[in-house]
This record gives sequence, structure tokens and C-alpha cells, in this order.
Amino acid sequence: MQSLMIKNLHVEVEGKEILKGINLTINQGETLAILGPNGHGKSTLFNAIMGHPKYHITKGSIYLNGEDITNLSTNERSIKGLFLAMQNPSEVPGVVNAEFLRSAINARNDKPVSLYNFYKMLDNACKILNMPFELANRNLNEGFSGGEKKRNEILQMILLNPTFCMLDEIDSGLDVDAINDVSNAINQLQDNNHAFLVISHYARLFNLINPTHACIMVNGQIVLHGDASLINKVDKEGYEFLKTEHGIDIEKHDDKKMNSVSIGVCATKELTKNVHK
Amino acid sequence: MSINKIASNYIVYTDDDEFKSNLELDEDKIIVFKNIQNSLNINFVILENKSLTLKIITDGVYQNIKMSLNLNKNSSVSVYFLDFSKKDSNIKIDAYLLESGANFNYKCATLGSNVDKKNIEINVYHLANLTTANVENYGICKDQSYIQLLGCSKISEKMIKCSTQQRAKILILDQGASGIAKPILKIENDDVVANHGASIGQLNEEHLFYLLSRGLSIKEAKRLIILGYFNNIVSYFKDDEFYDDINNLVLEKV
Repeated sequence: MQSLMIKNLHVEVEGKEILKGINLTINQGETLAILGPNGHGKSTLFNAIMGHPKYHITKGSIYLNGEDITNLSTNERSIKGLFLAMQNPSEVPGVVNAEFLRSAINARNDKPVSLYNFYKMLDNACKILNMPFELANRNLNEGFSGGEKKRNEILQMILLNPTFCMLDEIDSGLDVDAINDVSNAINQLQDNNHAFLVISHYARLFNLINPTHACIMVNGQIVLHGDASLINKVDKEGYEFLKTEHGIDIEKHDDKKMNSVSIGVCATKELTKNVHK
Repeated sequence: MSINKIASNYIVYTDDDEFKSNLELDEDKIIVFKNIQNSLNINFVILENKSLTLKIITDGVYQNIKMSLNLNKNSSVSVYFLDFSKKDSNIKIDAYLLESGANFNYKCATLGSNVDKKNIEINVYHLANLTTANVENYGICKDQSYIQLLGCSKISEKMIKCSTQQRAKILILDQGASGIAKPILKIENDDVVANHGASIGQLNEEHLFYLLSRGLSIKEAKRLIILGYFNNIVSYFKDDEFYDDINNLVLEKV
């Protein structure tokens, strides 16, 4: 059985420590719901696992099937079976969605996939997600609505078939039908060969994908583990019970102050003697 | 790249060509500049109510090319320009929107490599009311190359309800490469819509991470992003006979 293990992970972003010792293990066949207030390190955890250069691991390790991948490059982690559906997928101008998808599939195969097979796979995946096929011919996420971007993330997940899928607020920006389509796609992959780590603030998504267990992240640490009933408790009571029942104080984050920066004015007034005809 | 077929919609300029003045255009054209060692000065006139596309490709070494486009009433021209010239070169394009309703749309992608020094200047003169223009310049600098993208849109004092846009974007790939992007607006009237934007920088880290997170190697990820700059313009050549040639040339250069 394959597993993803995070051991005492400490992560810094721009000199500030965000993760303060994360311990977590997830195995194939499991779906873990990750809950917690905004700004307490959930997305940081996913980005650090994926190897985003902005997130510096200062202590601890990440193991994939017993192999230490802490220092592996992002693309190597992807090929070994990690996938991150991003909270805010990048718009990459000029890169055609279909060409990108085909390159991603070929990156993990010995032989390039034929055009026929690729379009067949793409067509099937679009049907599962009720996505118009023409989105594949547009530039990667450019001009996509929020919902289309999220569907495009799940489309990639279906095509690349990773073992460990990290979904960062995949339900944000989705209407009711889209949530159902995305959940169906996740359900189809929820088997003994895959594992899901899912961040969301809403019980609706979790009701559709039935996590096997849940945890709450606060102050850069996992403070509580439990079964899926934890999701309902948070949905009904919020996070106050952490203080009242477990004595855990939730640190308040100050709103970032706007830097007093002025880009100035690029306009100048010129007096021209000869106005062009 | 060789463009051997000369069809009726091709215009191929070489050093042997004489100065062509006031060439009237009434249909789509593809213009190829090949190895112009001397200066070349061309003047096109877009006839009233005509809407057409001009696709321009430069291939080889050339010094100075000056092109003027004169747009008459309700005429519209879309210019798609792929620049693969080598060494030092200067290109200047002036678009005169002479009468009301004239529309000018321009997109250019240029690649600098080795020690190329390129200067591309595109000026738009709004000389009538209700004229519109959109200018987009993309440059990629490799090795020790230098690219200067200058653009100026001018709306005269009495010209109202005009709309103009100048954008320039330069991607710097190597430490020795450099670029200047100057999209300028000279506006002498308040009843207009005008905007400009410029960016010069290295590959976007978030874009790179996104592609790498799907398993692409760093080389493949960079290739896709860089090709993306050219695809904005190459895509307009899709219906042309030498589309494959152009695609291969872009891949070879990038």
C-alpha cells in the first residue's frame, strides 16, 4: 500500500514560519478532510508538499512510499504520483490547454500518447465533468471563469491519474451543478489506488465525497484528528469549541497593512507647437 | 525557412526590390522580407471600407525597413508580424488613420538571440474622429541580445471619440540580455479612450510552478511558455500553406 507521510514539517514563507511541526500520514484508499480557519497554513502545507519554491522547508521531511522526497524537484514529485489542484490556478497566456495536457501525459509515459488516444481520453474526461470540449483549445486557464478553472484542475487530475491528490478549495466558485460534477469525478477515483487530501470550508462538498477521516489545522499545526463527524461539528459550531473543549487558542492574524507605495503618474503635460495634421 | 511558392497574396521583398510607393491593398496579403541589407521604404494604402489582414515575416539579415499604412474611411487592417531577423535591425511602422471609422490592429512577436540588437517602432496617428487602434508588442531576449520596443499613439486635439491602446511585453531569458519597452500615448483631447502597459521580466515563477507541478521538465515548461509568446501571433497563420514552416522555425529559434 502506498503512503504519504509528513514528519515534523516546518515551513517558512518570506522569513515567517507558517507550519510549525506538521505530522500526517495518508494511505491509498483514504480521503482526508483538512479543516481550519483562513490563514493558518492549509494551502502552505499543500504547496510545500508539491515543492513550490516560495515555501522553504526549514525542518522535517516528506516521505512518499518510504522514499524521502523533501529535496526532489516539483516535476519529479508529480511524476511519482503527487497532484495539487490549486486554489487559484494560474492563467498561462499563449499555452494551449490541449498541448499542455498532452505534454503532461507524455512526461510520465515512456512513449508519447498518440493524438487519437489523447483526444479520446480528453473527450471522455470532458464528458465526466460536463465541460465543453472547446475549452481544451483555449489558452491554459486564460479567460476561464472561476468554475471553469476548477473544472480544468479536475480534468488534469483525471488525465494524469495521480496516486495522491491534494485539492485546495476545489469547491470555491462552483455552482451547485459544478460541485456535483466535480464530486462525481472525485468519487470515480476514490478507490484503493488513490488517496485524497481535501481542503474546504463547506460541509456540502464533504457530504458528497465522504472523507474517511478529518483533521483541523490551526496556528500552523494539526491540533485535532478525528473521523468524518468532526466536519459536522465544525459546520454547526465553528471553531470556538477548540478553545472551550480543548483549550486551544486560535491566533488572530493582523490584516496585512497596505504598503505606502506609489507607482507615480506616467503622464506628463507637454506643450506642442506643431500639432500633426 | 523557405517560402518558395509565390501566390497572388504574397509580396516578397529582397534587396533587389525598388521603392514601392502607394501600393493599394484591397485583399489580405502576406509580406516576407528576406535579407534586406539596405533601407527599404514602403507605403500602403488601405482603401475605403476595406477590411483586410497583413501578415509580415522577416527572415534573414536586414538594416532598415520603414512601412507606412494609410487607412481610409471605415477601413480596417490587422497586422500580424513575426520577426526572426538577425543581427542589428530597425523597423518602423507608421499607421495613419486618415478618416473616420478607420481601425488598426497590430500584433508583433520578435526574438533576439546571440548579439542581436533590434529596434521596433510602431506609431499610430489618429487623424480623424472615431478611429481605433490596438498595438501589442512581444519580445523575447536570449543570450546577449537587446530589444527595444517603442510604440506611440497620438490623438490630435480636435479628434474625438477615438480609442487607442499600446502594450509592450519583453521576456528576458538570460543574464546578458536586455530590453526596453516604451508604449507612449500623446493625447491632446479629453473625449478618448486610451491606455498603455509595459512589462519586462523573467519567466513568471507561478506559471513555471504550475507547469512543473504537472510533471513537465523545466526545459519543456520554459519551451511552452516561450512558445506561448509567439503563439499569440503564429495562430493567425494557421490557414496558410507555410504554417508548418513557421511553426518549425519558431521551435528551432526557441
